[in-house]
Amino acid sequence: MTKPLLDVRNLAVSFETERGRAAVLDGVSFQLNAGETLGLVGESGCGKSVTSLAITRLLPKPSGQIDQGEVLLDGVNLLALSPAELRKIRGPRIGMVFQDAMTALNPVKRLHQQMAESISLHAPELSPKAVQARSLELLNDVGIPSPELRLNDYPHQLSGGMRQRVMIAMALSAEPDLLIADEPTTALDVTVQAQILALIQRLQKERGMAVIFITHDLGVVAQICERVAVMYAGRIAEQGSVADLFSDPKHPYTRGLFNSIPHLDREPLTELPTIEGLVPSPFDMPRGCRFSTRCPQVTERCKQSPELQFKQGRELACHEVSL
Amino acid sequence: MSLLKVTDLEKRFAIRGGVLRGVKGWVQAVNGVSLEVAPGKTLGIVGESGCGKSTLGRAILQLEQPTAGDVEFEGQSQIGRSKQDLLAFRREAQMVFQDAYEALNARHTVGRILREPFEIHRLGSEAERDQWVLELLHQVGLPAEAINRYPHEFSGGQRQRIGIARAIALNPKLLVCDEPVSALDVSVQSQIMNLLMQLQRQRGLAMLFIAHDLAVVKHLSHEIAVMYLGRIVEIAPTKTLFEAPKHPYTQALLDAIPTVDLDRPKTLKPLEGDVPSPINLPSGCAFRTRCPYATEACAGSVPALELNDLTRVACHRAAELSLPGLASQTQ
Repeated sequence: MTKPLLDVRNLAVSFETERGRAAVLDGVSFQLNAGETLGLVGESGCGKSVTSLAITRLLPKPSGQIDQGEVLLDGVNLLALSPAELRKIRGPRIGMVFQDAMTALNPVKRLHQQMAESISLHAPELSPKAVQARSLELLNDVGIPSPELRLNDYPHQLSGGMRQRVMIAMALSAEPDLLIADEPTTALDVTVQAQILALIQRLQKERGMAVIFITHDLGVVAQICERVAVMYAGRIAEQGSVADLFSDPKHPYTRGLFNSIPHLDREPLTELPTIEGLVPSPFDMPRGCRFSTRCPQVTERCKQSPELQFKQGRELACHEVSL
Repeated sequence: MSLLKVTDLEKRFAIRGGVLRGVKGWVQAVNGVSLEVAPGKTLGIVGESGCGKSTLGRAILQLEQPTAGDVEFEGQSQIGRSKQDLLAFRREAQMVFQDAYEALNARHTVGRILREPFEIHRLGSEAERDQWVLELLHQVGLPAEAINRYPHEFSGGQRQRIGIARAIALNPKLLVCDEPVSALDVSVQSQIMNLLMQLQRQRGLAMLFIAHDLAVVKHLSHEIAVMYLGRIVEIAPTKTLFEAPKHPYTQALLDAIPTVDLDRPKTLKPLEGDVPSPINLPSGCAFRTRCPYATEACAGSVPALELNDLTRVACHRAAELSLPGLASQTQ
């Protein structure tokens, strides 16, 4: 068996708040092979973004804290690295794209300055001319028309889709092995979202990059991911290949999620199935299985945390359903 | 007879700039929209950001004064009326906003928020009003204790329930819903959609449902209008629009929806380019700059909405094109 590119083991993260400690991630484990695309899905507050911030060690300080676990990138534990060592990881090994490109880009610097910054940081030997050439090549690669006319623009002069393309170009500048994309299309219109998804898909194939795609949209996952992990209240409820999991979701939460989406082939104006109740607060997590307060199949056993079940590349955390 | 009839509605905003704050240009947000909503039915309005769908909703309710055109409610024009004169219309036509947190006064209790419509319209005694508020809470699925709590104590979905309770307080005939579920998580989104459908059935409410999510609009609407840059480009009964779209933009929207349906895998066929700026509209058909079927003739004149079977479509080439609709996803 090949060694995974990224191996996240039993990751736990908590935040210090005025109301006390909030345990936001509780024992999250998953693996990602080189060149593979993993979708991390779940509703707001489930910990999907926190997972990506913990992997890249970008949790807000001092409130966010990694309590336990390991994040192994090619066997090296990122959680044990010094800030200087981490800078050699972010960029050349792991690239990141965020939801809101407007706040991620510097509003008072022209594109060529920002591009040059991220290029020369990891390749200081390049001459200004070579940096410029590389910027053009990257912008061209992400489908920005006539990039030479765009280099002098400020971020606000670009449309939302164009800004997201620039973000992706910058994330790719040091040719990372892993791209983490945190809701990169959520703020975009559907036709522009389709453009960006097609772009990420193409770049992933061309470069053989691994991608972690964080989203709340199951349709987006089906469109571009090979594997998927469904998160609920800081834990992974279920993971497996998209083909298996989408054709036969096992966890009651996953099933509830699938049912409540307004599928295009559902009869209009009919009642939609829902998941009753609300996501539990991180200050007041139910004991045992965290979905137990909303689960239609809940039993006495659910007061204990379920053991993980493994079968043919799938993983499930539920007492009542078996793989 | 239709409940709401909108004729050639226009709304433009001035762009001011320079030292003297002179008018430097115009944004044509709504550009000659005509539509009708029948009692008890839902008309869905879809389009991407900046297409004017929210401005249309606000202009219909006279929250923005339209630049031109007419809005008739039960046969009576509502244009150019004074605030006092609009009271009757406001009682019959209410709005639900996307961000219920911003739309609700954070310093008022839920009880006070829900009592306010009755106070403004001078309905009922104190005791009656309290009784009505409790009934409203019950109808939208909130506990009676909610009455003494503040909006921030509720989750997003519950706040949207409060917003809906306020909108239906005066028993209106028309509800204009502007992206009411787009800020909510999917599991909560379906709860709110169910509530809206249930209220429609119980009260015979007509709805104008504005959203960017085609799947959501499809589920709730009897008829759907697709907007692009301030104009309706296609309007058709829901089923017809999805099975046999006539406008290339409608087809592009259908092609862009990521589907969870693995039996019908599809390759995304994204449209090229971005939506043009509404300040500098392309000549002729506004969609021609991104349209895969555009010809020279499309730059010439703005296509009018014309009846084609059950559909009204604004495309010069509608008659010659045969678009695959949602079926194109099957491979």
